Amino acid sequence: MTRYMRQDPELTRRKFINVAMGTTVGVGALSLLSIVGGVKPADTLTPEKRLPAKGDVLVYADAAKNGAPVALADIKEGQVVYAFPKGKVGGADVVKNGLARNQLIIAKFAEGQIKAPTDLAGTDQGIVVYSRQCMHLGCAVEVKAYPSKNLQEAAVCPCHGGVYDMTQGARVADGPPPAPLAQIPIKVIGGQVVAQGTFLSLPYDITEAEFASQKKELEKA
Amino acid sequence: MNQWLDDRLNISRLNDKFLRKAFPVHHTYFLGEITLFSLIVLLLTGVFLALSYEPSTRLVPSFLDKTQMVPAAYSSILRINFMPFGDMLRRIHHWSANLMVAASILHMMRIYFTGSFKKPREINWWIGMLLLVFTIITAVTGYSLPYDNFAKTTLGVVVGIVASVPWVGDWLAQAAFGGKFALDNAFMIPRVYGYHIMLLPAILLGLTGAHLLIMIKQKHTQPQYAKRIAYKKIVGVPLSTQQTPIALMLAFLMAGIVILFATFIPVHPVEVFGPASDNPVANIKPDWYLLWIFGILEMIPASAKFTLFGGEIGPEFIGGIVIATLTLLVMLAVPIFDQSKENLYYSENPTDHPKRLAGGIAFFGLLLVWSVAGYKNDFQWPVMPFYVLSVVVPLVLYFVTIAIVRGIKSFRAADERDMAQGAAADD
Ligand code: HEM
Ligand code: FES
Repeated sequence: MTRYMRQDPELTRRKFINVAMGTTVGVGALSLLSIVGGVKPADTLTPEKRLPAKGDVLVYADAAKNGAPVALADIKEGQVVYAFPKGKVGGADVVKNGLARNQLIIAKFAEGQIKAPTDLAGTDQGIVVYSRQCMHLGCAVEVKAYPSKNLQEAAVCPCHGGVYDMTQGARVADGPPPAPLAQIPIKVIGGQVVAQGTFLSLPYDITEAEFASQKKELEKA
Repeated sequence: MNQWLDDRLNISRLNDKFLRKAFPVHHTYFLGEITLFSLIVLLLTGVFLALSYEPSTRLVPSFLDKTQMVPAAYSSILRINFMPFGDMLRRIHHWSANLMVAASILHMMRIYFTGSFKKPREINWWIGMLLLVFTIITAVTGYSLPYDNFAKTTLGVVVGIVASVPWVGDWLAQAAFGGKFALDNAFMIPRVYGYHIMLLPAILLGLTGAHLLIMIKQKHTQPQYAKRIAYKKIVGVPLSTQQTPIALMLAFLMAGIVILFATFIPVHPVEVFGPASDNPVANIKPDWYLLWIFGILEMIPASAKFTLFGGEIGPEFIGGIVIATLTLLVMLAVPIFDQSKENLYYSENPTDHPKRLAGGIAFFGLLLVWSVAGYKNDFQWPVMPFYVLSVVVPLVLYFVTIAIVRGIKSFRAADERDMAQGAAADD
């Protein structure tokens, strides 16, 4: 006995509210996302953070030595020297000590001890150079004997026990690092150790794409 | 005055609803309270530390040696150490953080072994888990603040673990820590500081509030003796006023012990590690509650890596995140394994549930094996024994526990028979 036929409206109240709220939440979430997108600062590559390049002279990492080139007399078998590459960036001389991966190990081994997969052309007078930054989670490695793997002089990470055999391209001899330390090809020129190029493999904390683009930049310079 | 307040705020209702809540009296029921008190001490000491700490990596002349340039954060910690009671404040903050983690783990063990996580209290088990995880994250961010070389190395490893997440890791790490990890990254310490003193404490307080409200709503499980005194009745002392002095005594006792520790055992000597640098720290170890993850990181071999849909999955990710997450998931899942439909009133005797007891002990055995693996590096131990121990130790603990419980049970049954015979003989 209803007086009026109840007509179904095209849009129920519930549906209207749901759509309205959904839209509001969506717009809100989007604007929030734009804020979150902004929390990552743009990459700024300061000169000190650039990759080592061909022609860079290796200088003492020890701050007390004021960036003097590493003397050949200090590089002996069984005694490594830590160094940074120093070279021209945009005309000015820069010690590239802005990132841990640029700290380098200069090691010397007796004739014939260094074997593949080391890049032998990148060694000179038994001197071989690697990045000091562990490929696992980026701690600085130490150089010491590691008898349990028969290594007289190995790069050993104090963080989680990554062990690298420096006579064989810093291959991972023990522990978790997913890749060998990155080697730098060098030549001894006029009593100084001079880089002949940048890292031969991907060093720590850089993506393939970034590595490729930074290398391209080096070639341009 | 009560009347005046009551007229305006209706506090008598608050009194009836919350302040009269009955607390069971049993020593293991105070572990949660100790966790809460440590949180309060951390908040109080933290506020005072924050008043003098400078969250910045900017280089300034060192507080101790003006000729040396060190990060401002590091210098400000040196200054705090020289303020009246400054070092003491740091020590109390540090020891309370340790106590908070220890107390929450023991609290959780109590809940687990007595079955208190069962229906209807599953939600509080999950909230408790989150509290534990966030407490540990808060402690790790706190550790990074002094920005000495130890802090910097820890932070570097944490950033590295975040960055190891496949596909999004690089972006995630740079978003969370303000760009790539570098000594002079100006955003990094301010970000970690923000997390440590605002975001994470806010999360902890929110979760703690929810945890306590749910506990009041659902009431404690009752200790076994309550069953004998008054079956299915809540037995305990009311929060106001009888429980309050007990809790206060406990709080003062705890504060006293923490202060004793703080007086005699120094914490984190920043001068020994020196300011943040790119040099290694020998024998670096995390705090005891993270040693198990550290051990896993050492155990995952270099070969554990593959590419999946363009994402790199490596030993850093598996060791730092995957295994730890799985372990936490197992803990989260604990209430799901329980099938009971009835609400639980009384704490259960652990030996009445030998499988649960044995499972818990085996689990801790596993964490212990992984923690010991954290020392593998120092002794140049091979990794293989640790894989074997990870299987053998939990299994052995499991079956030994079950055997011991059976033994106890049969002794008890024999005792009861003797008693019954004795009683019969007396008649
Ligand atoms: C709630 C749980 C908290 C935990 C587990 C915790 C833990 C820690 C830890 C382990 C440290 C390192 C201490 C050291 O190296 O000596 C630390 C430092 C610090 N915390 Fe906290 N904290 C908490 C809450 C807070 C709060 C709420 C604040 C501030 C309102 C705060 C402010 C600070 C400051 C400024 C430092 C650096 C000073 C120093 O290292 O001595 N903390 N925290
Ligand atoms: S950072 Fe070197 S082994 Fe983990």
